[in-house]
Amino acid sequence: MYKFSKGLYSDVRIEDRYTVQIAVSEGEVRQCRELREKKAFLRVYDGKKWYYASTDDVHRVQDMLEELAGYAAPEDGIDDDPVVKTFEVNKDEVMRFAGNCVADIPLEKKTEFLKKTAGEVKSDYAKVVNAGYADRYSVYEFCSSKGADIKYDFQTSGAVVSVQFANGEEKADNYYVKNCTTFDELVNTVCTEEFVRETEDVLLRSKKLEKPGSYPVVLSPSVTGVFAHESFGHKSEADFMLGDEAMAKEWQIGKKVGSEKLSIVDSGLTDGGGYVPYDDEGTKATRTYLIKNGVLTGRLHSVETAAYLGEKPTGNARAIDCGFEPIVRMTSTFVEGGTDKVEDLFKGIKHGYYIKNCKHGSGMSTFTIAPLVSYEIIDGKIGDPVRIAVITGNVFETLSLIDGVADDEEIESSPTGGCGKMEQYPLSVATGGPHVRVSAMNVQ
Amino acid sequence: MEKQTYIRKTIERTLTYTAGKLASLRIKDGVQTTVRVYDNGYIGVAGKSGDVDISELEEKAVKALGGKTPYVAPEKIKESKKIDTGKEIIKKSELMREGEKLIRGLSEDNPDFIISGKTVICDRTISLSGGDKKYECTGSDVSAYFVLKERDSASIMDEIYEVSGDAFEAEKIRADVKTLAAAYKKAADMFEEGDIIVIADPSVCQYLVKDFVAQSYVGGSSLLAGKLGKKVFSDKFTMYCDQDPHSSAGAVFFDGEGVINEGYKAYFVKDGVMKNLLTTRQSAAKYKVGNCGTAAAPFAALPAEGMSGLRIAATQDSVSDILKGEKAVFVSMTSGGDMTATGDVALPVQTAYVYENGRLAGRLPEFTISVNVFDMLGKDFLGASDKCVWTTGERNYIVFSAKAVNVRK
Repeated sequence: MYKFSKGLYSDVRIEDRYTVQIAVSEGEVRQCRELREKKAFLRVYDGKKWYYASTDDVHRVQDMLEELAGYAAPEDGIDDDPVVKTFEVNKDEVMRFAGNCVADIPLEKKTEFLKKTAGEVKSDYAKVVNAGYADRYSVYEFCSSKGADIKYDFQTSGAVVSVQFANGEEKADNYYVKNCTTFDELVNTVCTEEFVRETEDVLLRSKKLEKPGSYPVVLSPSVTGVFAHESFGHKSEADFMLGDEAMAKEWQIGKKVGSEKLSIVDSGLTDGGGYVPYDDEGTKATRTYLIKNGVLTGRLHSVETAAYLGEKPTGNARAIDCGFEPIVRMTSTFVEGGTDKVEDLFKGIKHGYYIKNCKHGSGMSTFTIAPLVSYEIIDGKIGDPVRIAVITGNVFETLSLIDGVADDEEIESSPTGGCGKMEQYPLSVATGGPHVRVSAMNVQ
Repeated sequence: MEKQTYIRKTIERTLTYTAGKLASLRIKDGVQTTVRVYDNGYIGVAGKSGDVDISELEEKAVKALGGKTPYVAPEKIKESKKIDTGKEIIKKSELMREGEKLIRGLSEDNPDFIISGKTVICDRTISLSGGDKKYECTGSDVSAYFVLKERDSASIMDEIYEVSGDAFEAEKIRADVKTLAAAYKKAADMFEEGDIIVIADPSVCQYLVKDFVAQSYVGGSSLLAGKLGKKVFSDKFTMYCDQDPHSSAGAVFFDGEGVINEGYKAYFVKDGVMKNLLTTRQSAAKYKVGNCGTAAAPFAALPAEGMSGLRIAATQDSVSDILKGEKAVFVSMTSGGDMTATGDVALPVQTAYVYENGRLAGRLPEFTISVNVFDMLGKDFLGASDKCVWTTGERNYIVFSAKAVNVRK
């Protein structure tokens, strides 16, 4: 146990992280990294400022705590500070993956799996096939000067196959992703056959977007997830409200912000890339409705933002690793499944677009999604694939224009990518939802 | 058996500002060591953070040779070379005081805005050794961003000012942020969909990066397939990686595999002609093309394709010299954006300003830039400048014609 300085709040987070990253192309291994690192991140708070340090030598933690305390101004009443009072004092151990740990699986087995997966992509049009495998097993330990003492583990094992198809001057890029919590589950569920046929279809039949403009759009579950994350998830991160009374008023709980069909949830309890039983300042995970039936119901907090707004912390203070301080981040963010049938969402659309898969998204007042695979919808039926650079819209207008939410909710995450916020990228998160219909979006 | 050891040492101090106040100091010092061994056409790699026992890492790297990962042997380092441009950008003892002074000044200058952000100061030494020879590059750089949010705005952020270089020029940052905030407050006349001249950060060229990758090029899936050595873009367009630590803060004069380019520059496009593909030594050998010498050296991993320090060569000193009195649209903040497989770029613009007579003359509504990448850097490319409106930092800008669509009323 560490000796913490009086008059200060302090905490120590240690992560023992095992990772593997393998890349295979043209039957050859192009990248192979197996790494085990143990790092610590320390925080000291004096009621006015935070002092942080990161170290890859966990034996130096005590010395560094003392160094950080040297910068701070100890305060006798630190325990009465609103932030310090809000910290939870949890004592727990949640070790779920130690008995089925990816670190125990030989590298050769992972490489063979990846070579086999890449080899299953068979198409006359495939010019580039790159396959990647990534896994991670982390054991986190957290303790604080208030007495918190937590240990838990986290694991993912996933594969990504990205392809570039070409037929003369026509090109098509696409990717397939599968992320699981164990290697066995991954091996048993990866299947790229439909993905290959879909990419061929996009290559051979895609039309140019004839007339950019505003159209009804149906989003697939994966695109709905990106939309929920980018359009609203980031706006639910309460750190942007610190010191900003106007924003606190603007974002009052109970305000109508979207269609009655829309509910968006963030939960650190959901298995996958966003599983965080305790966040990086020791708060227990919660399931938080951000929007329920179109009404602003909650937001994502660190201890600091919760204390500032007089609300409860939600377990969303996260850092990408022990090189950084925790900031307010999402975990698993998804649109809750509705009651509509998927096929009904397409009915009644005379001319619109179905966005099946996307490269990325981003969002502030305007959100942007860059589709990879899109189809025309003509007279209620899915038609030809079409090349679309981006779909965009004003966030709040679009949330109100959601007029169909299907009952086929899916949640997914990426083994290699994740969420970026300022300097911290990538953070493992999950996104998802059901098929969703928006009555009007800008299609470019 | 050949061996290379790549070591990256960093001393980093970060200040975070929240809502007009200095909120935190972060101390991050670290060393990452990567050992690569090459034998009989294969490579083995091992890496570790912190203090390391090199012989232990070598042993692991040799063991990793068993994975039979193909890789060509490295070029021998013929002569040791060292460049040191490191300097004390701010005295560590004064860092917090300077940060407090800057954020207080920014808040006083711009009372209508809530300002948050970060300043990161980094001293780094990168070395690559092989045999008894070594390349070593030491440098210092500072980067900062300040997010501006209008006090009565419902947005998370309304503007962002970013700066990087080798000097912390607080007064110039204050002047630049004041210029930006004033322009934000002034609405420009509405503009219609149609042709515009755009002033943008060279990062809009990022969409083309994947098309330079040797594997895509040789495989035929690249938009640039068959164009190596040919005139593809405007005569005025030159794209290169600046590896000269004297002209670019944070640059390293050798690549991750120990290749040193002539004049510390690696050209991908010169005067409109496609000169190079994006390679590592291994991919260059495999696809039988020239090696560009810009490989990255990811920690504990094989060398990888990299385009660090990507620059567009300036054709004129200032944007005004390019515009010759014409009005243009200065793009400050974009939201996403992408390019289709046929090269059509759509770039949603969050904040942009009318640029007139060398200054920002008022904020425009949100819109989307629509342009084909070959036109943007070809017939519609007007030039690149060394300077624009900012008084500090190393940013330059490109100027091109495009269409404004989806103008928000």
